[in-house]
Amino acid sequence: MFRSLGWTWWTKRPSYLLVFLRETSSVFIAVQVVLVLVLLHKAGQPAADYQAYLDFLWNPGMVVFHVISIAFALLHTYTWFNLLPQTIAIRIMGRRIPGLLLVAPQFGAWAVVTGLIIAWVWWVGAG
Amino acid sequence: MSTAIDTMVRFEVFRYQPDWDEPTYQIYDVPYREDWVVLDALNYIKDTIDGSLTYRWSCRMGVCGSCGAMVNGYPKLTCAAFLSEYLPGPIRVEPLVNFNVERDLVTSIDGFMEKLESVQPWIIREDGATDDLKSEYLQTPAQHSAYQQFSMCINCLLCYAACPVSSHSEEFIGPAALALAQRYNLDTRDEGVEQRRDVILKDEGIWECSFVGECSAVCPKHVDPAGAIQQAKMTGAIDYYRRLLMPWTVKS
Ligand code: SF4
Ligand code: FES
Repeated sequence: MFRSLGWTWWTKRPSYLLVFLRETSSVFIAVQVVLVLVLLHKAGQPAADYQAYLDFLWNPGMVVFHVISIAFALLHTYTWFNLLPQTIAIRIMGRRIPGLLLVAPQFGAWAVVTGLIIAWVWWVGAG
Repeated sequence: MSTAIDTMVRFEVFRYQPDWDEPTYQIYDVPYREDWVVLDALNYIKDTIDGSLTYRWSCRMGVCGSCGAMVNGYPKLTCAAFLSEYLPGPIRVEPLVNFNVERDLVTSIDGFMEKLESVQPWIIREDGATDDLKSEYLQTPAQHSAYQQFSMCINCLLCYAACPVSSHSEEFIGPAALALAQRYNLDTRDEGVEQRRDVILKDEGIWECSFVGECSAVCPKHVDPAGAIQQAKMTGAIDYYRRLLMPWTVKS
């Protein structure tokens, strides 16, 4: 008699649920990427087309979708960055380097890139 | 010294025999002792209430790896699960999930033994000199520490019972066996990386793992099998691109 965790495994422990949400977030992020690619495509189309697409992105359903997506993206990024020390074992003089040395640069780089994008958007908006 | 308290703890123990269609849960009331672990309670039940209860154990000190069971739904070594952590009860004891149950709390580990053997968890020498007991293969403490954590495994299989992938794919080689493969691949005395390569990289190997990480959370020996698998994935990915982009660097 084989006893498995069953298809509802992800409901059985908070740690399972977190992983399930992390994996599910990929679906939302994939849809977001498609929306951005379409946006880039529309930018090269007549202005009316582009405006129509912007209006579509601003409809309440889409706004709700984006709020959920950004929450998922933050969850995915945060949990994924924290997993790096398990994935990479760098040893100096026979000792594993502290996980923080692997985690901190990722958050640092994330902050810098986010800052640059915000500055660029602000600059384009102001210009 | 045992401290007797007038408390009883209720146990709900999974019972199953090969000719039964369905398992049942049997209730036993066991006196509470502060220094008792779940295994002590099972022994108490077997000695004084019901001699037919079947379970495995040996060392009673977290070394042999034979006493694993689900305690209130979590994989635990029953010799390391203190009753005090589960008060006031009831305490439900079931066989490890993701294995076939033979009888009561005893599971069949045949499938695991096959997987373990498939990763060849022993030192392989290209010259085939593994049984030449006269040879010495020196290793520095730093080289030893590279795999030491992964060598602490006691094959208790709690990690398999925590793994949703093992739950849905009986073929998945799984945490402990893959961690041991990584343990030997990282050993400077070993030359068997190529021989283990196909087994580790096949569909049922490291790439089936979706990094749930619960195997490492339940491991009583802090082996971190999830870490071992992710590190093997990293090596596997680098190796893939090396073979693709710089085939001349690959030994045939
Ligand atoms: S890796 Fe840990 S949990 Fe898995 S069998 Fe080995 S000791 Fe047990
Ligand atoms: S009885 Fe040996 S590990 Fe528990």
